[in-house]
Amino acid sequence: MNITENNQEKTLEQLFKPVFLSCEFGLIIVDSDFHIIDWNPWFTKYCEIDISNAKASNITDIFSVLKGGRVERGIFSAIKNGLSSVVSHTLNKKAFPLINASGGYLQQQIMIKPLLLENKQRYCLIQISDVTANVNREKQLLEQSKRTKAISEKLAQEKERAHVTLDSIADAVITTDEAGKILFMNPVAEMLTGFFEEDAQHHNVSQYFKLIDEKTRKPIPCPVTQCLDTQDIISNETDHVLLRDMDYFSITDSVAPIFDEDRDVIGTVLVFRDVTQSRALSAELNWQAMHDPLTGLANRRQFESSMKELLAKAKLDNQKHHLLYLDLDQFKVVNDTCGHDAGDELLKQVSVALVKKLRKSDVLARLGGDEFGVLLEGCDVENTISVANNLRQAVEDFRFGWQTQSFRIGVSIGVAEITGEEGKASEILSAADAACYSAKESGRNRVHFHQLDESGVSSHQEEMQWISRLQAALDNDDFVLYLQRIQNIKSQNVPSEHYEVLLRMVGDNGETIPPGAFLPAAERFNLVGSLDHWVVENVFKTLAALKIQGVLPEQLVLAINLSGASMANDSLLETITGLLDESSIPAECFCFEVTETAAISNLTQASNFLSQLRSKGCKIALDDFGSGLSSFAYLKELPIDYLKIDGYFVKDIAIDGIDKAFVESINQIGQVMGLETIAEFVENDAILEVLTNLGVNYAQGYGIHKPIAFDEVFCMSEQS
Amino acid sequence: MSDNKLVLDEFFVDAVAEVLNIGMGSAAASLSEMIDDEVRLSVPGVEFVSRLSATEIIGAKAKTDVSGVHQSFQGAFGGDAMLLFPEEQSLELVRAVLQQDDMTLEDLTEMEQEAMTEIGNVILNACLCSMADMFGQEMLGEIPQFVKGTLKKVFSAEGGLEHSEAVVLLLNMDFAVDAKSVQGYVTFLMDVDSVQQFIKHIEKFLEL
Repeated sequence: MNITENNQEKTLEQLFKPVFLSCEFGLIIVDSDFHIIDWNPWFTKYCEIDISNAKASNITDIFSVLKGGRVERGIFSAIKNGLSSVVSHTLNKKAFPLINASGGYLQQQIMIKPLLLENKQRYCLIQISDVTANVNREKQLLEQSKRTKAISEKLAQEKERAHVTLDSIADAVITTDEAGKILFMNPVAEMLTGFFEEDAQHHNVSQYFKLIDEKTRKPIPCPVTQCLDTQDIISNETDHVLLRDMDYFSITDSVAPIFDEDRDVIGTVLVFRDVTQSRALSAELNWQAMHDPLTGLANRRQFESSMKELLAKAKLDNQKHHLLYLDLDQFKVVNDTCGHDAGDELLKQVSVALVKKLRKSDVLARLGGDEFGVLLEGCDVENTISVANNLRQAVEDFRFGWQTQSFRIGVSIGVAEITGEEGKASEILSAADAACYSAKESGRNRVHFHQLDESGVSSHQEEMQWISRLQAALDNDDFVLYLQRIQNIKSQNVPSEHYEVLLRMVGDNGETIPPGAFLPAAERFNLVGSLDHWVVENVFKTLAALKIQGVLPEQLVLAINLSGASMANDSLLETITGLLDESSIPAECFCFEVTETAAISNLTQASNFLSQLRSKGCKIALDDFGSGLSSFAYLKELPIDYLKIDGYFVKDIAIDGIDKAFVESINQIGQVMGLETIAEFVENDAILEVLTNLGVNYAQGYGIHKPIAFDEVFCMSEQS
Repeated sequence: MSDNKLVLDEFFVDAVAEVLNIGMGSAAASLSEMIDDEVRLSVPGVEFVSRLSATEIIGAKAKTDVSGVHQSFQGAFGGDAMLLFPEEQSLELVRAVLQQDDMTLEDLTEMEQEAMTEIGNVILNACLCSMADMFGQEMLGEIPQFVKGTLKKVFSAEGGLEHSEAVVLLLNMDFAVDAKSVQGYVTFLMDVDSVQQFIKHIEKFLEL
């Protein structure tokens, strides 16, 4: 060892003592006899025994508590066997009696190690560390850990209970945080939305709870958003439908905000339930309450409700409204003959027929049995009567087929006005009902207007009179057929008895009422069809009678007028063909006249109608030709035989060159087309002469022959 | 020495076991006093095996980690003494010793280190002591260190082994307090020279 190293070692040796003295843990040295060699000031501080008082004493005498303990045994092991020991505070409460500054006992960790000197002398080192702080901290941590564990167990229990509760309730529950992100869904919610909780969690609720409106089927914003905004409970019972894949569920739902202690919103809870069945049931019950199950029309209750509304309206506005009360005629016959199933089917079909004649705004209801009601809103008298007659005609034209039978029915209609002065809706219904009763009493298949007493006579009375008069005349055959000859002026040698059939009404006093008086009313109130029917039927009747008498000429041609309305349906056509088939009189004896305007107003219908008659052998004449603004082209479309030149042009041809030119041109075209021309209103010989010169085929008018009653015509012939 | 078990006389092995049991008796006495309850220690089996075999044998019983105490010693023969328990067992041991049945395993872990260290110290010192007495030789034992981990780790240089031992004196040990009983292992790892010395001393003891 050199000098430097030597010095270093000396310094080091010198340092060991200061180290021993300044260590912040206890150091005791004992010899092989357990006698204390030394201990350091740290130890003195805590055992409060000065070393000078303990040196050379047996350590177990100074600290008697050590006797028989681990420390003693440890020292023994170290000295005898050179083994080291650790004595912990955990397992050894009997350690050195050390007290700290505040009077508390020092928890100690003791290590005992053998010291072997070069001279083989054995000593023992005892090292003591203060672990009080550690021990205390450990205790605290343990306490805290216990408390935390207890709390967390309790929380877990409560959470479990809440979870089980939510899982058990029958409603769907979704909870969200304050941003609307899903926190929890119970099994019912999973089932109704079609999503699992674990997939939906932490996503915005609007993605997993999709709503549309029950009626419009348009998407609705998620109520959770509204709830978060307003911090209010948002409920809906009637309008929400939840979407799930291709499925829909009608639901009732309610969202409530969740508040913390400071009244801040921390989330929401959404509860909802499937009410599809009950809502559908409710809707169905509603419909059933307002509708007749057989026909699908509104029922009496709905009708009465609508009446009340209309009455309220009538009080306020200036519009006219009317109510119709319909009672089917001969319905009972069908019911009795074919059974109730047939009756039901008839009612269904009649309902359809009636609906076709009404506007969308009109209310048609089945009031019971075979009774119907119609509310015509914003409909004046004329239109009301027109509608009423349309309905009547529709029912009259209606044919009901059941198995092998065919039935015809009619309807009696009562009309009442809704003026707004009525006290109750039921008054109006009663008035209409009374009017309907009158209609039935008067012979059925008719429209009757409710008549107020003298003081409150309504302005349309006069018009109403014509309807009833016409209806009565039809029933009572208060009509008379007249004939006016159509004279052949071109070929003198052709023998023919060509007549036009004219209709006159017989008045109450037996007076003759010309068609000009009643035809306009008939046209307005849709009765011309009935008139045509009457004429046709009675012509055949009269002919049959005359034939029996044997007074009918052989070359007879009778021209019967038909209205445009008659060509509109098959009813009259059927009647005519039926009569033709039955009658022994050849079809060529019949000529049917339709006005140019009537034909053109529905060309296809007219063409079809006339073709069918012609195919039976009848002739067709186009009446009042030239009076319309049509072109000659139409002539080509229509299957006609005669062209009747409008009398308006004829009556002045002797004095007016233009009229003559008209007549001439019409005649020429007719001739070219292979038609025979007939001039009307031939009132004097001058006209006749012009016509003859022009080459017109026939002439008709007062100047030639005044109309005479049908059954008198041939009698007179015979007489003459 | 080969990797296989050292084939020794049955007599020989029994002698070692007996010596160690004496030591165990003394350790048991100490422990009983410490915890104020009866502790019983016994050594049913003693083997000399290679380090690899030791790992396997202990590994067969201790599926998870082990925890225990490691104490180096020097002197007539040197090596590393270890007291090892399978992890769950060690906690049971500590719970029994600390006599706190209501403690959870998590709480025990705190105490485990200290208690285990001391228990291990007592037991290993007792073994070493009895052997030293038997051979009349001097020894130096280091302060015990707490060890925990996989067997592999514990038995390797990272585990703190200082000697490159080839042979292991492996003891099964039963540790019982009251009704509870825990099985652990005591291992003495020694290098070849030390083993030779050890055997020589045993022979001398038996006067063979």
